[in-house]
Amino acid sequence: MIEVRDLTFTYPGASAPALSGIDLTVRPGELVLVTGPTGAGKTTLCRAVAGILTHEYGGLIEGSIRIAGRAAGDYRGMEDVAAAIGMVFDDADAQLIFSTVEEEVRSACAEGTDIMEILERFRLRPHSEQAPHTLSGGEKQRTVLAAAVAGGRPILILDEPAAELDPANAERTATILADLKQEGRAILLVENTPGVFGEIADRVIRLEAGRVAGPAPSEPEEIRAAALPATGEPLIRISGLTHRYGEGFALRRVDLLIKAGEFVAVTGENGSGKTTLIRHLNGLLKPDEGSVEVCGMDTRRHPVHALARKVGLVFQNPDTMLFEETAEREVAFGARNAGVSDPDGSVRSALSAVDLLDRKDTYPRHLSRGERQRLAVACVLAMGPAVIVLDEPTTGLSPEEAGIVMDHLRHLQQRGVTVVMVTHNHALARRYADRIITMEEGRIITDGPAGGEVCRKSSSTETATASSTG
Amino acid sequence: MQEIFQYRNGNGILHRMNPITKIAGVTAVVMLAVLSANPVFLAGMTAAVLALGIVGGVGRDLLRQVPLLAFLGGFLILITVLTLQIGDVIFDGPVIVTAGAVSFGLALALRFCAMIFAFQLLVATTMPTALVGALRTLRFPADYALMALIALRFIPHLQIEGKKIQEAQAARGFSPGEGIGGKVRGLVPVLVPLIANALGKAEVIGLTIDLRGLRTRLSASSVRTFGRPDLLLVAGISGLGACFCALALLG
Repeated sequence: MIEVRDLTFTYPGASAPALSGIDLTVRPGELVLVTGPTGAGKTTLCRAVAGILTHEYGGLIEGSIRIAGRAAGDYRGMEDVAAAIGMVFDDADAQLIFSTVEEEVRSACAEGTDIMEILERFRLRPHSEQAPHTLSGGEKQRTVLAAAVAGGRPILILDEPAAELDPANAERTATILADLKQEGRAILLVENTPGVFGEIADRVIRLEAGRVAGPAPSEPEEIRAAALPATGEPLIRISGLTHRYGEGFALRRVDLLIKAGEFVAVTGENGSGKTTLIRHLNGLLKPDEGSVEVCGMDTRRHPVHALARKVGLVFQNPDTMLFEETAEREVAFGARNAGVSDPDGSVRSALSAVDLLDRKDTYPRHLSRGERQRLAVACVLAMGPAVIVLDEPTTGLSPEEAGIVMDHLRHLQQRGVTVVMVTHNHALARRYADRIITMEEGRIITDGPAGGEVCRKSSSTETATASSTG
Repeated sequence: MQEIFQYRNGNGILHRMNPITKIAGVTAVVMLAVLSANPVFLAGMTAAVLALGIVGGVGRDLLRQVPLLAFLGGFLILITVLTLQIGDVIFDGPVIVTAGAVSFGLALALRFCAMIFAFQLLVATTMPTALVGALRTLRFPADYALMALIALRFIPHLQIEGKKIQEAQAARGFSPGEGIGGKVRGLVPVLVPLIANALGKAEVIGLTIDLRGLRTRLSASSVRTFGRPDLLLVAGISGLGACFCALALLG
């Protein structure tokens, strides 16, 4: 179904190839998983196999790519390739073009296709009339997958379909892919780590620097670095916090205390309220009921830019904020806004803390995803906050890059900074955090030390009592 | 956040109309708005479009645009009054205000409102696939029809992305301040990431359109047949045309 022989590809204007000597075969009913660090060439391989490099990119292609029995170059264009291939890109939002989920899936089907059966299969029927951009991350991913599968195309290519999914949603996606494999589809799947897809893959290929490499390095042992004990009065006090989105509740009477110097991981499924909770910490969201107090400042009474001097929030996607011409100027922007006493020193210290001092003159968007994530941390670090809050800081990163980011966070904690991190990665949470909070349907359901006894909450009163001791 | 220029689910009279009729209706409103400089006629036409929106179940979407349109309309009137002096002088002070300038400024503002409302009615009651199908039926090249689709799709995306970027910069302590000066200072930190991220998404949207075969799939076949609601719209537009002709002949 897919046959790649001795493929070498060099992007137009590039001096070195992005892929070198790749051999790959995916037969009907097979799922081949490609893993590797960011920049290894995984996305380029997906685009090569989908015929995109041949028909859209130009560049130098050596070797052969055969799609459903025909050479990629023999197709008349992407419209022609589309009859054989369904593809899911890593950015689900960018693939949602239409105004309802049903219209989105229908747009990829032939006339007369039973849309409702497809929506049912992907558990999207209750959302059929909903605007795609209002769905949760897992629902968006299932919608683009449904559209890719809907036309009955025999080949499916998925570029990091689970990057932003929680374990439960990733498991659901894996189940759907296992069914599609059973139906005889040839599936090429790219992920940074095998995760749940390792269990359904027929073969796993690891790419490194554009070449097929040996097996992945083993996961580091769960050795916890010594942390400074959290001391003193709570730095963050959340009391009876309720937040509504329209008719529904995003947070329901949440109580939480976090002490100075703690490293807290907040986990839970997509839509459980994690991001809503942390957006209250710097005043981006204001409580509908209850109160949030950070470093003695009530978030209802202070603007975001004032709270930002105490609480640095690092967004999930670092590209949301990068706009300067060099990494150094990017970091200086926040330091200047915060009015720190020695901005040059703060910038150097922040860049040094995330190992980017030698890249200070680089255009931020030319940095790798992992480096951009570290730069985003440096941007808030230079403002001298007492608390750093991170929303999924390891999304889209390889285990190695995630480890580097997390080690830096651990060092910051050892310097006395309080760290609050939202993550789907339970292994990382257990390895680095002192305390893990789990959320479900807008409530904290468990709260306890990482690797220790977990305190299960059943009511807000219990939560307040338990949190105050943790 | 309420997105502008987006389809709203419904089964009102406008939703049941053939998209070609609606495109013709919008074209007629735009032409009448451009040809007429009579504020009374333009106000009547704007009110008629607004009333049609209310009957069609999307009145709230139109009314939500009123504050922005009032601001833009006021700005147009102000600019016209400051730069044009025709007709009787109605105020003679530091600035001379003439009746002709006020009338012309009012006509400009009303033209703008009528056109925006009519376009909003079209996109709020027509599914994007049906809109592209109608444009293909009208012999629009596939690339242009899909460009219209992408442009509409990008409106909510840019709204949401712009808000995220504003929040991200606020979280870095950025406070550009109030007023026009603040808006200008806030442009670069928001626009640069907005454009860079939008360009990245545009490539994926283009590839998705190709890989779903939308150029050929979104053909004329998805367009509705004509029915009674279409006749009603044609009658309404004809009535507006007749009013325009009568006013032109009278004065």
